[in-house]
Amino acid sequence: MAQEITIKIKSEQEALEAGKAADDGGQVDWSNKIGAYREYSALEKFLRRSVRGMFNYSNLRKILSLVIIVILWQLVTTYKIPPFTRVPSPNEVWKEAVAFIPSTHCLMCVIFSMGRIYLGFMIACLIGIPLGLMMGWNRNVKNFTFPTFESLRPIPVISWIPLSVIMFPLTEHSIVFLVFLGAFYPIVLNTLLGVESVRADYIQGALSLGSKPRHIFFDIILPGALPSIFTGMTVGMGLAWVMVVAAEMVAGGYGLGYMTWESYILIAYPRIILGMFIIGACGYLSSTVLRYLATKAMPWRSLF
Amino acid sequence: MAKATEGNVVAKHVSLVYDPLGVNVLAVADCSFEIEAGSFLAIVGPSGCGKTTLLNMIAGFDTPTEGEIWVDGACVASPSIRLTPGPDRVVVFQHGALFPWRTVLENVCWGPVMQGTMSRDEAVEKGKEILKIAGLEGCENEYPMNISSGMQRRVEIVRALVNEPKILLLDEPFRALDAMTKSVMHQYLLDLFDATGKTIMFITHDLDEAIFLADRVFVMTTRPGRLKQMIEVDLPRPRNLKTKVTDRFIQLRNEALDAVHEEAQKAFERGEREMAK
Repeated sequence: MAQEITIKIKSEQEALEAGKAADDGGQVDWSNKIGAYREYSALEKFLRRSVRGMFNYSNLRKILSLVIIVILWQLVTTYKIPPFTRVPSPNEVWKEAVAFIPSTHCLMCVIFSMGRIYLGFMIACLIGIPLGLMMGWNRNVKNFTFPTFESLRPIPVISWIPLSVIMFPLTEHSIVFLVFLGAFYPIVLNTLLGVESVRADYIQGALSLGSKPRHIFFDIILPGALPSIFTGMTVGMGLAWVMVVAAEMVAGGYGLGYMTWESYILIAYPRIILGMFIIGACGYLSSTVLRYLATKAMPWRSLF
Repeated sequence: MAKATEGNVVAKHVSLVYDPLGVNVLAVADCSFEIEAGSFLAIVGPSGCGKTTLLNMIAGFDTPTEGEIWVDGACVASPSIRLTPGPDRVVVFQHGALFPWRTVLENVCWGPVMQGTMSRDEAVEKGKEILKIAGLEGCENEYPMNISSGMQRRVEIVRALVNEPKILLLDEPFRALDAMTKSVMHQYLLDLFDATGKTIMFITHDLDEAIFLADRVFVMTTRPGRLKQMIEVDLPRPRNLKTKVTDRFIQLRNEALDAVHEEAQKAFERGEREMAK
């Protein structure tokens, strides 16, 4: 005990002296006073940070959960536990992926589905955002359009498939129409909510600064509703993918939904699961693009 | 101190009834007062007494049910005219209304550029100049969310001043600030008032704040808001923190304290009754 204390006192003295020595130099170098502290080289720092970043417990658990799902999937398919008796195993899907993904067929499917999404979603934005803005801006526009809108909205968009096939002679047109319809409702509704949620203070403040209605519309309402508009677009994008897959399965043509359905008919089961994965990846990609656009369009939002 | 020649506000028997759910509520009852050009009027009253309604009428957001409000010989509010809120009577709001999607400088320049009274370059130059006086150099390109709440308030006052208003309407602008920031803001506002000589109407529920800042303090009754007491504050300017401990300040405060407390008590009790219903 006594020894420990003396050692402690001694080390404190040493530290003080070290500090004094450093003080004389004008700059206190604290690293001398803390025994365990050591300056790491840049490479060491990078490795420590990245290794710790990748393999901390939190991330390990996340990776583990994925690994467990794949193992379970392999087990239930190997031992043919119902309802997985005819489900392909991860191994088969992997082999199919290696063969199929680099093919032109796959590329064409992605291009067709993406093209339909892009077209339908664009039309939905071009009509839906101005409509939502006008509904929120002008009571008469809202009174005139909102009841129709609200009575059509509860109809599941999928149930429009037969009607749209009758309405449009070309398959392509009916698919784009269904995509448009899927994205349209959430875009209009969220734009309207966005306009209505703009704080009255901003509008009064703008009036007080001498603005005319057009300034309020373009400088207050539009940026104020923008976060909500992007929420609507994100939700709309999700529904657009639902609609493109459903419509392609029914109406045919090229496309990821059609490819997945066709694989069922051709008894190419691994490709069904592969198709599902590709659809998921494409959906994820498109919402990432939207998120990126949102941060670019609203630089002030990143500071919240 | 530059004495302003414009910004004279006269309210003549102003009343306002508002009708939210078919129940007529008399918010402001027969208020008459005058704010002389270049003077500082503070309005004190319990919450819900119609202070903000009164300010909104001057600003041109609410139409009075009876009475008229004149600014420099022009009627700005009466039951029969169309309201025109404008940059001659700029409001600074209690919750802050800086546009979060514009940087500090863009917020400040927005008014004159939008109205077309200044070119973009002129507005930027003037905005920068006033921001500099307000000690806000270096944060011109920040977004409002990125600066402290005290700075936000100053930016908002600067944004109002760039328009060269006749009268500055401040609706409890320092309500959400902490006590220390508040005292800094008081000093800032006093300096600004001394430097510009603008007419200021300031709403608050804090009697100390009102006496410290204003030339006259208008104590309002609880709803319906009426004039209860008008306190002439003869404290010399320029004022500073020491003013708050002078005998005259304490005397003025004591004179008004009972009146304010009585109204606050009434408002409180009525609040309880309304909840019990």
